[in-house]
Amino acid sequence: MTETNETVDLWSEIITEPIRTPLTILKEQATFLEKKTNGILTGEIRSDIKGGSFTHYFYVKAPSLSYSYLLFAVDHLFALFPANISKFDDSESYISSIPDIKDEERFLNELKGILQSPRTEKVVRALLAQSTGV
Amino acid sequence: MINFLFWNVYKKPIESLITELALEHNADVIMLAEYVENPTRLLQVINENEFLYFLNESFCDKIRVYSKYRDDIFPKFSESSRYTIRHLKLPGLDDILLAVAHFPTKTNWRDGSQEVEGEELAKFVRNAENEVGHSRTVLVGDLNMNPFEAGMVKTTGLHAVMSRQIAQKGSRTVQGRDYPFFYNPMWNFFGDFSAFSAGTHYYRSSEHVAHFWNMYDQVLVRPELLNIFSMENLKIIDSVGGKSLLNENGLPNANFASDHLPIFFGLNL
Repeated sequence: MTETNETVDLWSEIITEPIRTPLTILKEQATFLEKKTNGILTGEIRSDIKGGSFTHYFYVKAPSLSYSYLLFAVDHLFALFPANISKFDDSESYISSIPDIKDEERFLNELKGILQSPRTEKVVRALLAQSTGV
Repeated sequence: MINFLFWNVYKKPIESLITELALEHNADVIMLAEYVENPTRLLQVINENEFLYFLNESFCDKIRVYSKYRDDIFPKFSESSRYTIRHLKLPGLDDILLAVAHFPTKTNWRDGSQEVEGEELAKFVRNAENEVGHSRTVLVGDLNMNPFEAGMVKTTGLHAVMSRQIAQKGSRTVQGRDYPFFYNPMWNFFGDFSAFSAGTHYYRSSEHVAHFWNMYDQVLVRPELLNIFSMENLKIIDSVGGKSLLNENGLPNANFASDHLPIFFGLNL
């Protein structure tokens, strides 16, 4: 039996291509909101990591009013997908969720549904009106 | 280089001028005093062609801060009705405190009261520095005091000195107590030998003592930031896009813009 001192790389090839995480997508949508409103409204993402679960709360913020409205939250484990989206009412109480979103494409689809919903439109319009009308 | 612009806009709705000024000087942080319009009004003008600036959230309505930075990296740290301290935490760079103040005018407040306010602001800044654990602080604003007034120079006031060499010593001990220095570069700009206007504000008093030009708009720098404070970039601005901010007598044109001139400075963070 021969002994060798050579070190061996046992890892498989690690792909370093950037992955669009749910957080990246949320940040992109925050920027779109800011551009559409000239910065009168901003998107604020507050993240939390607990027990291996990553949760990102998406707020629509009106800086001139010092007010933030919780629109929804996304949570996932380290593997990014599947992800879940939680919805809240006006007093930030949990209402319902969209569970088990398997990939980026479906996530974008669900997000589109929320961002284009009558409720989001109502929130954005109300905050814009109050921000510019004070 | 991070560029900072401060201007007391004299309650004038001069959003286009502010925009032109900010873009011309590539300001990263814009601080306004006496901007009484709805703060979203400037956003609509300044971001019209390209989204560049956020309105940074604040409860201090005497000062408005707009910047290229989101609140999460440039949050408010502590505030009162007349001053706000923000904590600039740019990724990979040393964090700094930015204090912005607008003091009551001499019309409403006597020298003694302004002096006390200087002491209060100095305490406010020192408390923030103790809390954050360093003194990398810049203080800017319309202090409504000249650099030579007691509230600006005395130990318990802002303790702002005219010489970089003195400020570099860090602090001064008087009667066994230590008082940290600020460096006040605005001393360099008094009078006709300055490359800029002889002050930032002009008032011709009918009293026996009159300075005519005042340097109410100032930037003060703690010794810890002296090596990154760009003296070459510090200026009193007297024109925007080729338009003069001065009248035919060379004084701030309050009809066109403001009775104060803007100041501009940079930090090599």
